Order: sequence, then C-alpha cells, then structure tokens
Amino acid sequence: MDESAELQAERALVERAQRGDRDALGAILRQHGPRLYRTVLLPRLGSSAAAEDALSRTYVKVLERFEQFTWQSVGVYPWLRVVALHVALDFLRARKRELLFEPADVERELDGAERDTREAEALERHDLAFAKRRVSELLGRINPRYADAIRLRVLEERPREEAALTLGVSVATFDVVLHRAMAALRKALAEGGTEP
Amino acid sequence: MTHTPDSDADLALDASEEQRLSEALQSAWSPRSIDPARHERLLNAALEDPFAPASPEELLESERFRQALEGQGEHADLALARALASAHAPAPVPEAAWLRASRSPDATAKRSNVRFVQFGALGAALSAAAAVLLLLSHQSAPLASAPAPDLATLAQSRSTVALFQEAPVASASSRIDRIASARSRELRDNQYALWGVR
Repeated sequence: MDESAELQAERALVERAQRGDRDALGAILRQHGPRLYRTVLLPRLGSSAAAEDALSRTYVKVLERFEQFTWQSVGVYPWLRVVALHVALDFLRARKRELLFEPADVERELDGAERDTREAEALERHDLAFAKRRVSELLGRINPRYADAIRLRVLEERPREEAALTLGVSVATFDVVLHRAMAALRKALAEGGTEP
Repeated sequence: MTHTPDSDADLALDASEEQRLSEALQSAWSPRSIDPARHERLLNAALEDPFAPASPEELLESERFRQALEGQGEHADLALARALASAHAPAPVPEAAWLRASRSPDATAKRSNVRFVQFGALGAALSAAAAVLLLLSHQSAPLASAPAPDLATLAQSRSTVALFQEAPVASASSRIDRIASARSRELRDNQYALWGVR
C-alpha cells in the first residue's frame, strides 16, 4: 500500500530523529503533542496543570525511547499515544482524590492501544468520544435534575440565569441544585464502579 | 420525581473541590487545546539536552558556581540556590542566635521602637516610686490590726527574663504590657500582704 505524502514526510522525520536529530523529533512532537494533550491527557487527568505536566513527562519518555520505535504504516501517533497513556496511568495511580477516570480504565485502554492500527485522526475521534461516554455514564448515576444542572452550567457553560430558566427554577435555587449536583457526582465517583 | 439528599454531610463540597470537579468534567466533555506558546515552552524544555557537550564558557561558569556553593567566591546563581534550599528545607535557627534572641528583646524592636522602651522605663520608675510611697506610708501609719508581714512572702525584685523564654515573636508593646502587668500584680500582692488582707 502506498503511503500518503504526509506519512512519507513523517517517516523521513522519524528516521532523522532516530539518528539523533532533535530538530526532527521536535517537528514530530510539535505536530502531535497538542493532540496528545487535548484528547489523551486532559480528558483523563481532568486539569490543565496535570495535563501539561504529563505532556512534559511524555516528551521525556519519547526522547528516551524513540530509538525503539518501529515504523508502522499508520505513522508515529499510535506509538506516541501509548506512551502518553502510560504516563496518564502513572498520574492516576499517584492521585489521592477521585477523578473521572480510574487507573483500571486506562489499563483497559492500554491493552487495546498497543495493537491499535488506526491513524491519528481516528484515534483522536475515539479518545474524545470515549471521554464523553465516561461523563455521560457518570451523570447517569445521579439524579436527572442534577445531571441537567451540570450539563447546562458546567458542560455547556450556559449563564446561570439561562440554566435556571431551563430547569424552571429561580437562580438562587439553581445555585443550590448545582452545588448538590456536584456533591452527588463526587459521591458517585467515590463509590466507584465503571460500566464496561 | 422528588429527590432528597441522604444527609447534609453528603452535600459538603467546598468551593475548591467543586471547581476541581467542574474542570474535570469540562476537560472530559470538551477538552480545550493547549496554548501554542505554552506548548512551545514545554517542548523546548523537553528537547534541551542536559548532557550535551559543554562550551568553554559553561565550563568556566560551572566551576565558579561550584566554588561559590562551597563558600569560595560569589556567583550570580548563588542567591537563587540558597533561596531554593531555604524554601525546600529551611535550616533551624542556630542555637547561639536563638539564645541571644531569647535573652534580650530583639534588636529590630530596639531600633525601631524607641518610644516603647521609653514607656517601659517610665512604667518601671513609676512602679518603683509607688513601692517606696507604699513602704513609707506603711511605716508612718501602720494598721493597728495588721500583723507584721512576713517579708519572705512578698514578691521580690527579679529579672524579667523568665517572661520571655518562649519564641521571640511578641512585639515590643506586648512585652512592655506583660512587664507592667507582672509588676502591677506583684505590687498589689505586696500591698495586700502589708495590709494583712491576703
């Protein structure tokens, strides 16, 4: 199968990088790093600070291990994603507080990721959808009104007046409902359990 | 459908926790892209090779810095290194300095609070004068019913060092207040003893 021009260019960069050319490796990470941050690290770690820290560690691991990478027809992104998932797993294991994802979630992802043959764009879509499914699953565990409050104000970032109107309550009542909704979600997270 | 929370304890969620949870939800639902400038900084930091061969200037500066760390000479990075070390593991106050500080009012207060010292001296002089007056009035007109006081039970003049054995955090004014309070209490006790009402 012929490789696209884009993949051919990437392959040339990979070969240069594996010979020790840091500019070439920089070009590869400059292209794929923002995607790793947005679709792999940030959704799983839940804060920009943690995701940035994890991205830095991912780069360090990539630098250390890039010689081990073997070219695949889908490019270098799936391999970079596996490295980032391992870093995210380390972060989740080190955390003390509840987060949306648990180490077991990422372990399951890693099982499949190392054999994944999809290209970068397909993996990006998969990761974004995976994180959304997790949010939906969590919201499904709490009172529907609570879920609506979180969806309106936190996920869709609507003004509180609009969110209150949608729920048919006063703004003051909405604030209370949202506060209770967050507490209920935290409780659901603490109780654990992930739907397959 | 009505929903009743399990208990008030279940609803305890402080603002920072709520904020953290909100950010986690938003990050999963619609993750934002990393700021390009921020990404460039992260990438450049990662690509920097700590083990790259050193230039002659780097060799010179690294040797100067090593010497400065060992107490020989100065280096522009020395203050930063000390600040980092102090922030990471602050050294305890040397014992000699601690003893000096705990035995005398701190030097800063001496320099900047001369008025407090003046008030202290004035207070001590007034206390002494009151004690003399009390003694004279007692000698000139002793109460007939009062038994002769046992001088051993009276408060004796003493150093104030014992009042300041704890950490030297009190301000000069609070120290003066404590001296005045202690002296007043002793004066009252002495009066009561001399009057035979204690």
